[in-house]
Amino acid sequence: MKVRINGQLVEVPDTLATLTDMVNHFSLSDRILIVEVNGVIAEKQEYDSTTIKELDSIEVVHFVGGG
Amino acid sequence: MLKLGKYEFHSRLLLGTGKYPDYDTQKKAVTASETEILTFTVRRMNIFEKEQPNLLEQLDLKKYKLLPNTAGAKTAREAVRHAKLARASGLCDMIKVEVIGCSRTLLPDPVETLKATEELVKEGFTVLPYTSDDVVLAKRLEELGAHAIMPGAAPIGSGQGIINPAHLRFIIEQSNVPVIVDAGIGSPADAAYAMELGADGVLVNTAVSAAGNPVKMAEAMKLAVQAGRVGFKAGRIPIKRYATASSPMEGIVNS
Repeated sequence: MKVRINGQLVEVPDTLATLTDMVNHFSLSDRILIVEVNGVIAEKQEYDSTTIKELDSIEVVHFVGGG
Repeated sequence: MLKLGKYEFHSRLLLGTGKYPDYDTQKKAVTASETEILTFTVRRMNIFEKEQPNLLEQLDLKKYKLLPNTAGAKTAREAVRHAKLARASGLCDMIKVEVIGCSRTLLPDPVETLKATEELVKEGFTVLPYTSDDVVLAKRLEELGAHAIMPGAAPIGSGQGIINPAHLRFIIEQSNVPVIVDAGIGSPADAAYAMELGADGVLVNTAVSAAGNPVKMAEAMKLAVQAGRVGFKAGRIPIKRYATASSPMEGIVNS
């Protein structure tokens, strides 16, 4: 299926059912990051229950240097 | 002690984490500064280039409190979104509200800053708005529940130092919450001066990160903030127009 990640259409395996699956798919599970799905922030404890479907809009953000 | 909402700090120097020449220098500068508060900003992650180094992931997060900013936001709504994203990391609930209203001067938009501050206070954040040196605006932010006021010394990254000490002093004198001078500091003298004016803290980024030797400058800023604070507590002498001799006038050996 296709999902939009940080504004970019990306093909991901159809087997990705939840946000946890997606984070693992991109090997991001040990990173400090925050995920928003269709404009709604997903708390860490909600990753397992947050389902991913075709054309979902996903923002993956993290902390970078800034003043 | 510097008290920001429910948090207490020994250090009165807040350090930005942008624009360092390299990670090693940055880590050493952070250590040399002895800061306890580091600012960060929220940006999209390049998930296809995962090997990019990330300072935050290399820090001992027990030693530092994170102060994410909302840089990049042009409206209160965007600032609130940035703040909520930052808090969802589970690492912090402090937020530096930064809503820029002018791309050339990077001066803050007062109306949007007020709106964002109001909403974020209601949402339970520890809110530190970056503001201009406007006294009335500082009062209004405090009334809305801001936990500290962060007036700029000069435009962000300009290194001009404190261009309006009179207004900064007005803000400091009337404020019931800590005042942290943020933005525009160029040298240790500027940082010390801010503290001598009675500021509760100073936030620097470019003055350290773009210095000839960022590690040495981080140490200099630490010392300047300490010196300025002690000097403020000590109470400087009034300025006089003419000289007064330091040595006694009696018993002068002469012919």
